[in-house]
Amino acid sequence: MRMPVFRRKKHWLAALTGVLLSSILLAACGENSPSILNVAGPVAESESSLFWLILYLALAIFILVEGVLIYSIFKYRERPGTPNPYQNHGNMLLELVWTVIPTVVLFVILFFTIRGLLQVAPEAEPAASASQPKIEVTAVGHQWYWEFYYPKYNVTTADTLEVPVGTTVHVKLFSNNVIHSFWVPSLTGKTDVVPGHDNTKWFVAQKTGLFTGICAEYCGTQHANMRFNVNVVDNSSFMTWISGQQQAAAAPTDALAQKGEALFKNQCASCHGIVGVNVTQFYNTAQECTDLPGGKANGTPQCLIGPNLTHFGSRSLIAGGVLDNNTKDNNCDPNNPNLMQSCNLAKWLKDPQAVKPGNDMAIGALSNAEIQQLIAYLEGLK
Amino acid sequence: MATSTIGERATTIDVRRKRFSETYIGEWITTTDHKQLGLMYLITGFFFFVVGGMEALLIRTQLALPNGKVLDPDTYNQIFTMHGTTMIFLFVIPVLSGFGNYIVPLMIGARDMAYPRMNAFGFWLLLFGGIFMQSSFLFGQAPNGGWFMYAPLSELAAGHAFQATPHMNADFWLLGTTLLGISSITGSLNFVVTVFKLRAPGMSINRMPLFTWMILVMSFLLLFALPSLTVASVLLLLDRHMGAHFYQYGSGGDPLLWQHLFWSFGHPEVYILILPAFGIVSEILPVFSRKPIFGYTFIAWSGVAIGFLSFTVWAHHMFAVGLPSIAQAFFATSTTLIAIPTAVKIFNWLATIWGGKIRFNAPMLFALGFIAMFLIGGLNGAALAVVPFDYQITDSYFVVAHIHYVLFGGTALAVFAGIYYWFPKFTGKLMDDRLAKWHFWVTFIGLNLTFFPMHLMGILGMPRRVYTYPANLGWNDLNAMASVGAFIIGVGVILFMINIIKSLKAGQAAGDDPWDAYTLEWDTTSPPKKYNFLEIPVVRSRRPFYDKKYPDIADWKNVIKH
Amino acid sequence: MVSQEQKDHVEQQVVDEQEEDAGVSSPDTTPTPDSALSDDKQESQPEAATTGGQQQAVRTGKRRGRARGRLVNAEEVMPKPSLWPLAVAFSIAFVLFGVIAGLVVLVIGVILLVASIVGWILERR
Repeated sequence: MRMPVFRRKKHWLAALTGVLLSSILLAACGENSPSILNVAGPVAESESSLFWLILYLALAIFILVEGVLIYSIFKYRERPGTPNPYQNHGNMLLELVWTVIPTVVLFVILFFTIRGLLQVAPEAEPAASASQPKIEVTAVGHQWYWEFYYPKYNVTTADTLEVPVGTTVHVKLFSNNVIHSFWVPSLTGKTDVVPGHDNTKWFVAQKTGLFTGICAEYCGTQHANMRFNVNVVDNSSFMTWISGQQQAAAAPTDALAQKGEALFKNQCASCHGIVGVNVTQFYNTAQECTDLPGGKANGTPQCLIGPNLTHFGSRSLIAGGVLDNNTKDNNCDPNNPNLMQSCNLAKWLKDPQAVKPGNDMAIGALSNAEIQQLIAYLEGLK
Repeated sequence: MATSTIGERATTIDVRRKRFSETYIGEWITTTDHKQLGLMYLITGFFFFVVGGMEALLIRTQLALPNGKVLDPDTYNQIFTMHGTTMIFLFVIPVLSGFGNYIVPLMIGARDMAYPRMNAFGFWLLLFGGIFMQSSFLFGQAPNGGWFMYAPLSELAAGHAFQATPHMNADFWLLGTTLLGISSITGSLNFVVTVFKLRAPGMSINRMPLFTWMILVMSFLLLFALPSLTVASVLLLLDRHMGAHFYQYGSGGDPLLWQHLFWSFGHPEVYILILPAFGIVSEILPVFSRKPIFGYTFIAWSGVAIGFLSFTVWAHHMFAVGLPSIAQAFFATSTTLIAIPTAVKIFNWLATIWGGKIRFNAPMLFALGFIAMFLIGGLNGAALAVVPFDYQITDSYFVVAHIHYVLFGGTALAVFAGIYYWFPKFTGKLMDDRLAKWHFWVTFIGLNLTFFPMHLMGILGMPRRVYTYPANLGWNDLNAMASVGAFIIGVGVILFMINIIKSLKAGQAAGDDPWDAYTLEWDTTSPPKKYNFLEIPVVRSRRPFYDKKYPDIADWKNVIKH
Repeated sequence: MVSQEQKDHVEQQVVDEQEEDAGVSSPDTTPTPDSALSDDKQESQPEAATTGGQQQAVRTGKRRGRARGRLVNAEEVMPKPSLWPLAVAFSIAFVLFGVIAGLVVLVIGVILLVASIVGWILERR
């Protein structure tokens, strides 16, 4: 039918194509985003290179099919006096052609699929060598934060995974609650953290820098706020960091922080551990806290439900990757008169349920002075 | 039962009192007429479409800006769970069954479904199941585990976790889907028997209209897929209430069992949702192109092929759970295979309109829109089958874009096409074509504005099922765009409702055959009488009504090779 | 109302007597004319059936060799309305609601369910 509305289809198509193209540009250069196209390692590289292959093939098919569709719409629309069309019921040759061609295209894609699959599979993990060292990390999915344990160094941290550059990182995935999914778009695709299935994965970071990690499997109320950072540093900084983390917490020296420590023991120690204060060492959660016979219950020193806070002051993210810590515009100096407004930790301690509703942190109402003491203590745990 | 003559009955009717089933309300609630039940299915389905649409708008309002505060996290999780559940179980399946109920007996020249009471039973189960599920909102305990309801999050408590689903939320879902499952099973049994036993003389299997074909395949899929869901649900209920441990690894169960059971229902399910849409489009395109469907056999059998293959692909929803590489390669291959019959269908549709004489009435517009949008859903679906790439984009917004291009750009557009196409048959009145075109264009723009940016969100690393997102990750503009688009779709739906009301009140008389169509449902009055046909028509080709109207060039006079 | 009813008295498809007898047990499920004819669907039909019942009767008679044409009433052939499907569906929903609401509701639901199934079975059709 020759109605004006239909004539405008061209415009919409132009707009649509515009959206499509501009958005691909956007995707390619979304700077702050954890884009899967900003690759920083071979695993993500293998995964994302397939994107371009599929994109070009899909674009070709898209243009072809939509082209034919739009051409027929304009060419064959009913005009006055159009004779009745030939009643064509089918054509075997054509059917064969358009069965075989997509089959071939799809099997080409399948070839690359399986090749890529084998490139990033756990079996493809490179063996440790002098040029390609390897470290092992256990990533533990909690509701809702990530805990990272380095078995070789017996170090536990949370919210930020520190790894040396150019090193194969072998990640063991453990959860004793619900299913989570470990995802660092720039470094590696997802692997689910399934209770009872100790999946492993590996990746190599070839650039230093901070990369956003995300929990990608719906894991309950605060699934949205379960991020982490992967901090890729050079080898010597990593070793320095490790040796710092291996220490027990330093005893506070100033009065404010000492009050904070007392407060911690009183208020926080049932859920959080600090080595040298209420626990004696770091524990391997994946071994100690399984649901299998012999696993410790929540609340035992091995399986405290909150993150270990031993070197809290050195972390750049807190509260399950939601709040910045140790950044310039986040002034947590306990003597800052504006502490309650400018310090993320202060907001968190004041009302954790306002920051992250539904999380497990249950803390009694603290006075501003108490918060100040806790901040002085915790931020001092470098 | 003896057959009676006219005179006998006419004397009895005047003296006796009206039965309950003859009052207005009684007629609706006691009916066993497939057409009335079909309409009831359609109305119920559309009602739940509006409910699910409201839930979608709430979701998009919450996500329009970063750190949104419209909904609290738990409410959001309930809303997105109910959005998916409502749209799949309470909108798409009922509406497609509604079309099937109304149209299939007419198309195959039958007087009713094979089991009319079971048909009514299925409808009422659906209605009560829907009410049951939505009533969970009244308790403030709507299901909140996602429409996939993964264990152990849906357990009462999961191992060391404190936060699984201690309240009734998951029970509503599990029992509700069980109810809806029974409803779908009765419905599909009925379709299978109807199609196999009640076809008009001469309508062999390979002369059946394609919509009937697709309903038949859908029914078989439902029959074989639903038991898996029901079993999974019952096991989970046992876990929750009887102390069983089917999905708890600490006691020897396995969380992945749920995923395997669920997706071995869930993947056939997505084809259940799309195959009848294929059927609707395969009916509309030829009528409005004034040509027969191109490659009938290939469209029909590619549907059957999809049906079989759909049982072999379920684990492509689970590429990230750590299956062995060889298993992933197998499921990548089967997923590749299932794309082939889908592609064949698209090409056949293009060939159907190619060289035709195309009339752009509303049904055709929606059918063409379906092809254009479903193609996108097919292409990004093929991308999801590329396992390494899938590791990156599964559980991201890319997948949301994919399912909505398939289910909204695909099924929902086809459903609208079907309503515009068959509304004259349902009511004897034409719908306002101008308003329908507005509806189409508004919906078309809205859906692309909503769902296209979601591809990019996924590529930019935005995970699914998040109730909020921080402002500094570059997702803000795309989300704002999607939210605007969602409200544009909402405007489209309002236009549609206005059109329905307007057409019901003051629509032009349609006549029996407003589209000059080919199939038997048009070979009777609009709306059809209770008995459908004065006498059962005799079928001699795939286009019986076309043959009847144009006896000189009837299909059966020409040798048809395909 | 009456005239509407009158229209429903259809000059309808002829019924093969044998088939009709077979249909006594479940008359509501399978309209007899259909099954009578669908048995013969492989047989090629001489022409599309567009004419009235009488003519059809002659033709069917020819084809089957034993059938006799008769007009049937729509009400007789079509399934009867029934309230029981609704009742059974409602009771099932009630039972499942009882599973989460508590034992009392569950017991009431089971009673309702049994009652409505019995009602369905005993209903005359």
